[in-house]
Amino acid sequence: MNSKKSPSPRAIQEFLSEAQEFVEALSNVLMEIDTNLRDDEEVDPDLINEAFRCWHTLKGLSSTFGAENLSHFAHREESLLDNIRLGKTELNADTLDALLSSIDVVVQALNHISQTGLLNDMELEVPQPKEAQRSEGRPVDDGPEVAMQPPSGPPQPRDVKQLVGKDVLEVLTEFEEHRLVTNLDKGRPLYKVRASFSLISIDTELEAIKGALKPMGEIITYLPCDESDDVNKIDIEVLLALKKEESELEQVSNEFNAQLLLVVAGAGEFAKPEYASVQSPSADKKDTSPPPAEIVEHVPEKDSIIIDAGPEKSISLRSVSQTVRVDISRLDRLMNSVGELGLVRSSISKVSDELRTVAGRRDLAIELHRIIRGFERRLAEIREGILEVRMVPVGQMFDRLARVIRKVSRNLGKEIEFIVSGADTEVDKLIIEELSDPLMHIIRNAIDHGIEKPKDRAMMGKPENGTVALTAYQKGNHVLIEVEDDGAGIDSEKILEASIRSGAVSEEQAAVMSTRELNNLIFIPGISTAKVTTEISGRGVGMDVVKTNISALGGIVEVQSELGIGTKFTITMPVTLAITPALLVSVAKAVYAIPLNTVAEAIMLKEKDIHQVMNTETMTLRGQTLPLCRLDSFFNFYRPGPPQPNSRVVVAALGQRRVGLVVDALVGQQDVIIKPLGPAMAQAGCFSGVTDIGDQKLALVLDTVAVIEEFFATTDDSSQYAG
Amino acid sequence: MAAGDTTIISSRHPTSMLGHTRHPASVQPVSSDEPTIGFLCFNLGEEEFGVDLNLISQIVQPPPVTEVPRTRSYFIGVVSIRGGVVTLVDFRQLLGLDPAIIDRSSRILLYNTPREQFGILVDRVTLVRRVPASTFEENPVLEENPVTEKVIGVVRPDKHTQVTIIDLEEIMHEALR
Repeated sequence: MNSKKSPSPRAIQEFLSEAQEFVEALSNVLMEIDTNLRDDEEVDPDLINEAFRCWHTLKGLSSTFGAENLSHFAHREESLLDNIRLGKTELNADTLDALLSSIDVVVQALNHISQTGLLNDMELEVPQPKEAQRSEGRPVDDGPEVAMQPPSGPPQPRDVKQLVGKDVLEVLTEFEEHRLVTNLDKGRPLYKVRASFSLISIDTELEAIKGALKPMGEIITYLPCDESDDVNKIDIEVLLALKKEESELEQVSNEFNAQLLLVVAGAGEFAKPEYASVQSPSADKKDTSPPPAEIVEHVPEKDSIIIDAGPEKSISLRSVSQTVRVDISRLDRLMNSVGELGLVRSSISKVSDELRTVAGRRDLAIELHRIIRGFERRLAEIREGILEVRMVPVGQMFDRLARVIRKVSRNLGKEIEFIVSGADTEVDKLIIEELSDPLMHIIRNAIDHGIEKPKDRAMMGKPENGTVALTAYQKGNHVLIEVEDDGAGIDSEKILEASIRSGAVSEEQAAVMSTRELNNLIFIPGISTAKVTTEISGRGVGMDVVKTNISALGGIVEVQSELGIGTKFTITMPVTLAITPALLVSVAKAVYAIPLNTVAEAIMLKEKDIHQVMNTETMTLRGQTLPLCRLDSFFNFYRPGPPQPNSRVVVAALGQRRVGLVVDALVGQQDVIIKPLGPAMAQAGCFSGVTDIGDQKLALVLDTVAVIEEFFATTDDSSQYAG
Repeated sequence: MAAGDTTIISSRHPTSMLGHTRHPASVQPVSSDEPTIGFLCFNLGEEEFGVDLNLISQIVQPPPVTEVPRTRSYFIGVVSIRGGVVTLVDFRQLLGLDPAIIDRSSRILLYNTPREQFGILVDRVTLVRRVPASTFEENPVLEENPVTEKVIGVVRPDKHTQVTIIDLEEIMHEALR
């Protein structure tokens, strides 16, 4: 490998993309460890192993590409994790902080590499846990199991060898031995599960039995034993520390025709509960190496990294995932081509129609028509395929947010319970990217200003830990994302005061405002920077920016809040942006496209059904009042004379708001690719873009959100604050 | 010329391919040693104007126009040119004249800015004029009309013709304000 030469930009891209996968994998693992720690559960040793492996992979990857600094950094982190998994370094919230900060260091380094193309341009500092220096004389608490430190008294001698047998101990790696002792200290019985495998299918069968045994307890190791008579068979012994009942284990081992052998019986016979001493247990090693003392430094004493020869431990250089990372702009280009193909299709259709009128060519016309239908179906498939590729689960974003929440809440000294649901809901990649900043802002606000201090919460009879719940689900063509906290809620009185003072709301308007309208005041630009700033302090961006960003994506954000109980933000987003089915309508002879995801239905307009309510035309639709917005006058078209006959009403619905858009006629339905308008044209303020409708013609795409908001803002006095 | 056909101006062929050239004979022979300036010249009504040739990337016949309501009156609408969305500017209105009527001689000059592609709608393109730099009259005294402020100079390619040179960049910059 050309590790010393400076790599090509392409190689750097490849490196960055693989390193990015590592960062995501590692942060997921660490967040799971965090969950374990916070639930006061035993940290799953597999997670620590996984983190160790992640760093190891990054180390290899970095040195392959010649990023030596990063490789050294990864090496130090790897050693730290090695110490943690061997129980030499305590794993607590502070250590985890340091581990998480090291991800940030890597992310920064990767950004730097991406911007400069220089691989070794930056100094990387290993983050130290806050308590690192002090923890030497620290008393042992009954925290997480891996955190166990030898007490300061003389180590309790114990002959593990006698219990487990020398033959077993000798083949164990240092880590496995540590896990063995830890499990024995917990009073768990130790079993050997011996099963026979055919050489041909051992790969899958071994995985199967391991999978079945995993829930039973901890698999310390598995070893082949050469006692089988059959040359085509191999016997494997799995060393298992049992957490469940023996009967359950028996059931599993019967399923696999395995033999069960009790090596060390459970708690009664062995360790006492307070038996906290962890001693380097192997008698063979005791002579050569000093007992592991309180090693809390991050830099390990020895430089070599222990990679055990066991099959499970060997680290493959093949990349872990089956995924391909693609620049989203390539997908956009692909989607554009598909759109152009759609135009080609309509041109062919036209030729086909003409061919029908040619005498004697009917057979050809029919054949052509059939081919076009086939073409159309394939085209639809491609389109759907591309859309599918663009979709990513919101979980990706939620993971990032979880890290922020953890950081913010620890900085503020608040304990936050973060509940996520619907992480597998899929949304267009672009939307995810654009949404993460607004969501981050909402969540920060929730933690900073929503959730009260633990003391105050206790006084109010709330649980000391605050809760922030992030929920995503799909509803028709929209994805709803809710952020709910159980904090103090929005003090609408204060906000109203500030709004009136800043002149955004008049006293008269204030008098007739509904609670929902009051809560929505937080989205007005002037307000969040006015008096409320003292409460919603120097965050830089205000809630108005959140709203603007979300609106720009064709979404809406609404807030519900109850003082003292909590606040809930609901963001409604379209599932995709790239291509959208639209209803084509005509107004004053021009064609406009209305995205179908905002259209509830289209009905005939009978002039006699129209009523005037406070300067607004309305009609009654299934018992509900529907305000009408005549698009011609909305567009400032001057059309004298009586209203158009046979007008239609397109019922546009967004959230809870509905407006009947009055158009001259319905033209049809079509999937449209929305192209943006330049700034000069965007001034119109009610179009999200234009789309090709064939014959070199463009149709304006209505920005239904903007139209509805402006309509309510100008027609209804009490909601003048909206928009 | 079919609707939407495009003509790419090249400085090597100053007069080639321009539709409806009105005075083909008026191309000035220019001695090769003296530096010349190139202007793309067009008519708004009877008056002939010129803009810096380098600013215009293409001249096209107007495709169907999609009007965009609720914008300034001189931003007429959008047109689709080679798959791109182009903001159409009625140059007559922008310079304070009556609104343009699109007919067979109308042309769109494409002018690109980093944020938006503009199409400048003019009544008729005359030709590319190359004049010796020395004949460019800067800041001439002209009779007062809406355009006066934007005039940066005058060229007189022959004694019957006067072309008013205007600063397209400045005009478009102000139009967007």
